[in-house]
Amino acid sequence: MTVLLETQNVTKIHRPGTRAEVRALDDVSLCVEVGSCVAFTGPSGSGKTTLLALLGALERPSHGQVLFQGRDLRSDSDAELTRIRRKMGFIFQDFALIPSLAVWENITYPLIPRGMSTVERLKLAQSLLGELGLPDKTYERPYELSGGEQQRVSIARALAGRPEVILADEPTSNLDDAAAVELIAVLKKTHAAGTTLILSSHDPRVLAIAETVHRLKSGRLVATDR
Amino acid sequence: MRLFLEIARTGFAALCLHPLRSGVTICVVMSILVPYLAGVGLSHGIRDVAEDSLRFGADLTVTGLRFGRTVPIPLSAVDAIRRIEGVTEVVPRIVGALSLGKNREPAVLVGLPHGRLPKDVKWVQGQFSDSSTLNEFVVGSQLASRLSLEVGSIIPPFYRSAKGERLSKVVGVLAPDAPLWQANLMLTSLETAAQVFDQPDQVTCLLVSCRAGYADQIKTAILRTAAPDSTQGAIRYRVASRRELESLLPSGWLHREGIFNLHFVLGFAVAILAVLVTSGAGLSERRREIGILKATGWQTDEILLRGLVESLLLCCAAASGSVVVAFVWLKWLNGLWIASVFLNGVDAVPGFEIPFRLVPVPVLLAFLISAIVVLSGTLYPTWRAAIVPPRDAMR
Repeated sequence: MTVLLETQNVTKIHRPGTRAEVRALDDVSLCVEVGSCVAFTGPSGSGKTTLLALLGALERPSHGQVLFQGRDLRSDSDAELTRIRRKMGFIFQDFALIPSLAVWENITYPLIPRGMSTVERLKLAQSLLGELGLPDKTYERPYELSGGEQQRVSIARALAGRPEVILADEPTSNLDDAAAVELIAVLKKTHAAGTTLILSSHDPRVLAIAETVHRLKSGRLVATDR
Repeated sequence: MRLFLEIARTGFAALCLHPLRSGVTICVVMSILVPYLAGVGLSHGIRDVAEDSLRFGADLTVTGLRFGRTVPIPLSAVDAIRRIEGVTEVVPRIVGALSLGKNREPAVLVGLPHGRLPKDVKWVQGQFSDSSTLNEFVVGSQLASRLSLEVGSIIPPFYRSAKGERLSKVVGVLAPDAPLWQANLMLTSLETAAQVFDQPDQVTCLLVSCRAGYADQIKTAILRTAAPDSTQGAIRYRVASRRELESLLPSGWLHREGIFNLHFVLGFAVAILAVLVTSGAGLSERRREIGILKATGWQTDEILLRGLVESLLLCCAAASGSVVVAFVWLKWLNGLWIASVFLNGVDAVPGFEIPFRLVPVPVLLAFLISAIVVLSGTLYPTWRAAIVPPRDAMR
């Protein structure tokens, strides 16, 4: 199998050199293969979100390497990291929707710099919202939606750019049971279509869809279940 | 190009998406630009009126000097100057300050020979009688308004002279749209003015008209002579040409404009702080929004372009709005309050039509100032948020 993402002895230290210094990740090495579904689990503060942020090129490691398709991201410029992020889709724990934008704009805003016209964007958003069961929410604002609906909008945004990998951080933590079940179904469907999934969660239902589960504790990778 | 326009459009949309932030920023910028534009427009208008008055005035203005101080000139000096070659006309004039009414309203009394008084000009309501009648006045619009005077009003005795006290009659009121110098004016005959100030056969200045090319020669001739004064020795003359008076104008206005500009600079500094605070109030929201954009694939320069368009639209809206409001303030609100900053003795609500002229340079400067305030207040925080890692910006 081809390796899509890889970490080699990655360490992340927040606020280094201060009294508030935190070693969020400590010497973590792992790899994610193309088309696989990988999950990270562990107690709060174990470093799951930080590891996901490093894999998603949302920040840089303090030590070690992160490789995307074999390319070391350490020396990449800010602009190059952004170009790499365009190949990824993110689902954030708090949905990270822009409250002032309508649902369809939230879904397709990332496509504006990629040159997609307004008409094409609207069509794409309507199509994705139809697939995710929200066809009548196109012009609503995020704050008019339930948590489950917002998370589905967040998924639609992640899918809109046809990413090679989707990174989802605690995707079910803010959802009720029914919404969580719906979300897991969508994730399964997305994975079945060939998209690589990287998830972080405590939720056993989410972990159940992963082929590999990495367990983290105090920033260290302590176990891997396949 | 299409991509550029599409990103620029999101800048415009961002303006509408945050109406409170945009509105507060525009209001802060307008709060400094409107008084600035109104003040400078008013200053230019006043300067125009002053220049017009000089342009249509006498070639030479002669005043008397004793011990280096200005003193009245005997009326007999008129004939002596009239005899100088090249002089076409000498008009004696009395200009003096007095106060009227129980509130001691300040007024400027101007006395001219009877034949020189305006008989029927368009901005005077009423007219002087043909015969030389003492104690007839034409009063300025603001003074008339303050003292509730109208044509036909009788003014109780307001001066004391050797010839006793007399009632005065208002025979005319200057129209509010007449030039601003009329606001607190009392225009009367030379004889009446001399009686009001109890200075018979004395005038404060002589207005000399010359044949073309003779002004310098006549000035020299006047300076060589001295006015006879039977009681206290001779009086020396001071002669100011039109050009010399014109050269005095800018210094006076620059002084007043300088004080105004100093206040404006303080306002400008406060506005930048206010816009920074406004932006700071919404900074966490802006930072998070920028973090989301970066996380989902927006480049820093694309975010800056979006911010730049938003800022430029804000500054254009603020500057254009300021020009419109300043015009309305001067034209329809007649320089309410601000006219009193530039014109001594003028009420907060001027009783006459104030002159103004909005010129291109301050208007362009307003756009520049607006751009500086808005860009430093909004684009800078955007840039700061755009250069940090997306995860930090989203926190």
